[in-house]
Amino acid sequence: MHALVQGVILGVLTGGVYALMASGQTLIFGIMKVVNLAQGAMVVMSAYLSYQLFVSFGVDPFLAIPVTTVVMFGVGVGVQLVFLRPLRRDDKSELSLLVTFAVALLIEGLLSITFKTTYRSINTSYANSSWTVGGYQITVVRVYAFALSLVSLGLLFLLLNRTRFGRAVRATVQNPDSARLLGVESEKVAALGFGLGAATAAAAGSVYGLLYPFYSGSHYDLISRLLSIVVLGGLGSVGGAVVAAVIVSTSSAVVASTVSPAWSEMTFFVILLLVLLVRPQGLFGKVGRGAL
Amino acid sequence: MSAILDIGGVFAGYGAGDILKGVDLTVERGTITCLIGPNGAGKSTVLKTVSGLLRPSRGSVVFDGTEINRLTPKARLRLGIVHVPQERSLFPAMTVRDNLLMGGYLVKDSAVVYARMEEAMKAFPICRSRAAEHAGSLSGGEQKQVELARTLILDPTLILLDEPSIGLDPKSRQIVFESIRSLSASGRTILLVEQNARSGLAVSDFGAVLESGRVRLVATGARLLEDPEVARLYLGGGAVPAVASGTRHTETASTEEDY
Repeated sequence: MHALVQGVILGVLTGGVYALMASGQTLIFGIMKVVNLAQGAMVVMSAYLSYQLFVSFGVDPFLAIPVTTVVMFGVGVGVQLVFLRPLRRDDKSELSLLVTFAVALLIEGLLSITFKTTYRSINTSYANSSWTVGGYQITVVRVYAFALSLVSLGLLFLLLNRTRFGRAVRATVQNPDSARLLGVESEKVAALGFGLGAATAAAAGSVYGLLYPFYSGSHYDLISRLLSIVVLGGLGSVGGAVVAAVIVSTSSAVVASTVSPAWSEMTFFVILLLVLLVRPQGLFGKVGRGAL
Repeated sequence: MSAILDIGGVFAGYGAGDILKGVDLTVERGTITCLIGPNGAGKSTVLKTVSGLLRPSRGSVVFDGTEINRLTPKARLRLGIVHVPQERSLFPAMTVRDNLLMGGYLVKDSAVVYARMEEAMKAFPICRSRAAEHAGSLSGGEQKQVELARTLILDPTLILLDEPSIGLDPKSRQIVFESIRSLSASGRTILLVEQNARSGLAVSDFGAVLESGRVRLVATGARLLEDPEVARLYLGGGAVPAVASGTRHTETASTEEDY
């Protein structure tokens, strides 16, 4: 029982971080029907940015987030304008898979040249600290990361639901032709939306760097998890991504702590397959167009 | 009465060939003009050339004295030309309120947007009573009312309505046509495309018959309703007295027929 509860605590806390990463991924898909295979690479890139700011200037990774967010927003807008915008509308979704994978490889290559391929980790003073609550170990970093994810997702929610830009994004997702008739410039929304999706990678990257050792090729593992979460939650649904991240992460952690860590990874994909057998559109996905 | 829209010799199409083959049409300020005609005649295409979704290959579209052929749809919106397409154009997973706010996307001053939304809610009470509900949960007739209300947020001069009654039950259709009348009563000009030609003409000051990409006949709505030939070809039966059908007959309007 103790192992089960410990697994749930770990899973929920980790799920918050994956939710943040996956929210950007699903946001980009919702707006542009682009499956961004570079999202994992962007998270790793943000982790390196946080690492460098910590090593060179002693900036705490949590405090570095405003800076990395701005940088990653710019990277996202740049990627959309340079690599995705020129794609023909007819086959944009298919081609974007290749293009974003190429962007992931480009980012990986640049990071390998700059930082080599050795594992890095951000070792803050509180990296190994933990609290004991009711006999359960709760690592400080994971609690901070979870809180950060909640705040970031809350801000994303407010941005999408309470601002003019957010309304335009949601309108474009739900009915792009009608949005254009009301004066929304879909290309501009697409660029800013991609930037926003990449910006969520900034906060996620700082946290990822704190929680796990990483190197330039870490994005392969990340992107497979993110895609699974996004598909499980329903393509284009931010809320679905959050729920899916917590479900998947918690079940993996519970299996790891009660059965064996060897089965943990498999649990992740077994749940995905089972849900897709029953609901091919994912937990919160709509058949056809998504709805933010 | 002065012309707000003057379409002269317009040719336009979608690549394979022109659908509009020299359309000439003048729309008077503050009136409702209904375009009728068989399927494929180019009625919706006329609206698209006015809203800028389609650029004419030849001819001119003049709005309020200015040629707008080269203007983008967004620039035409700023001039006050709003297009309500045939297909459902609301954002189904957004609330009715957010849908209305999207109508004012181009208006920078949020105080103006909220003031206009208040007016729109007065004109279309369904928008207030269902404000917090998702637009997709409304019936077809209710959604059409929200679409009409949304046009008001931009304070339009010219409203282009494409088949507003399509797919609606008779009661909803009646409400929509009453709404169109009230939009017109507030001084806005309406160019209407309506497959249900009898209802469309009944609510309109003028009617224009479009056939094979050209305007064949322009007259008052009442006169077209009474015309036996028009009735036989487009109204599915005999002519109907204007009074009986509740037609807005404008005696002062210029009603020359131009074949």
